[in-house]
Amino acid sequence: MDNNVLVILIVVVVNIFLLIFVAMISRIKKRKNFDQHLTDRVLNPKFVESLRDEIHRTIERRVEESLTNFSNTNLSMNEQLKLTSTKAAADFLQNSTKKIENIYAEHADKLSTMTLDAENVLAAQVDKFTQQINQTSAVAIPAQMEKLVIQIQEIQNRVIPARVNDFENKMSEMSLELENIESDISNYLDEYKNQVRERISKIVDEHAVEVLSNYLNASLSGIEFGEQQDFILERLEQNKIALKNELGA
Amino acid sequence: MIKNTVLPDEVFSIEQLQTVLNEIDQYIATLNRKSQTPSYLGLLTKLIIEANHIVELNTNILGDLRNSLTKLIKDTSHLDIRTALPVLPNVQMRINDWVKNNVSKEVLLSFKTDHTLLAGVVIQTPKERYDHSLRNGLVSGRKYLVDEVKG
Repeated sequence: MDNNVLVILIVVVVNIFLLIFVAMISRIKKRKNFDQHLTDRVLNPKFVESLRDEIHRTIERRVEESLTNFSNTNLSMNEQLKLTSTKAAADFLQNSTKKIENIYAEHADKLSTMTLDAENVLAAQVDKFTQQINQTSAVAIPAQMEKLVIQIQEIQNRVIPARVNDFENKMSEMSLELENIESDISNYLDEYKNQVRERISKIVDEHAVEVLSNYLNASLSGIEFGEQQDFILERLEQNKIALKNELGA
Repeated sequence: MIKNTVLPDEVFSIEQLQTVLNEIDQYIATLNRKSQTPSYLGLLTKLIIEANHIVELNTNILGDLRNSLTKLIKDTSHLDIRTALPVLPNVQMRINDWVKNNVSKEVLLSFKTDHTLLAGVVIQTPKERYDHSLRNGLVSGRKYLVDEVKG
């Protein structure tokens, strides 16, 4: 083999090795940059924790506001119901309060479930994207990284309002149920008042007959028809023993 | 003072004794004004004077009689008969007979009229009250109403 050809081959081989070496150095640098970026933006526990805290704070604030409104409505109903002094109304109040407590408990459970759901969704999405990142080639990592961040932000923007909207819908349903209960109470009280009026009317009628009968049989019959003496003597005779015990000594 | 003042059967009520006391007071007043003719004494007063064997009507004796009757009213048990319409004298006597025969002879009756009773009678002793009036029936009816409504 000619010496010149041999030299050319050696130079080519050396250049190939140099190119491979440079490419490896470049890949290692990109990998290090990606690892640093991943640590700072996504896999950083503080970042994930801040997202979770934000979800908690948002849900808790909305739940607290809604429960405060619900509590105020409940207190207002209690004040209204306290105005009634009958036992029947008290029983009705007790049943209504129990019903309200059940609704409250039901929605409290729902709220708790919703919070857990939101956390689970977030955790699942983080796990999913972490797996995707690990499976992605180094070349696509930066773009995937940006996509991941955008998706996490979308999750934050989509999931939380959706849950809050769901919660608001539930609270609207609960408010509607409370209005129905309030309407039922109002109807019941009206019916109860009518029953009391009817009862009083009936009693007055019955008692009026009794008083009139006594008046005619005992009072007027003795006085108006000249039998006052008999009437008084009958009453004295009626209390004879007591009179004798007190005055007869 | 006259001991053990005697009342005739015709005198049995506080109102009668009050009339007698008024007549005695007027009579004593006219005796003190010597120039005037003594005032009229009613039948009941005369019966009491006779029952207590009083012969001479002077201020001292009549004063003693007055004090005795006042003490009698004060010391004797009363039985008040309150009615819506006045009780006629003959009815008062029948009631007095019944009381003397069935309760005690040592009781003075008192007959009062109270139109607010509406009808019926209220019998009042020093300790007890027996209300048989229509007014009481109405009051009881009101309480009955309240009790019925309260259930």
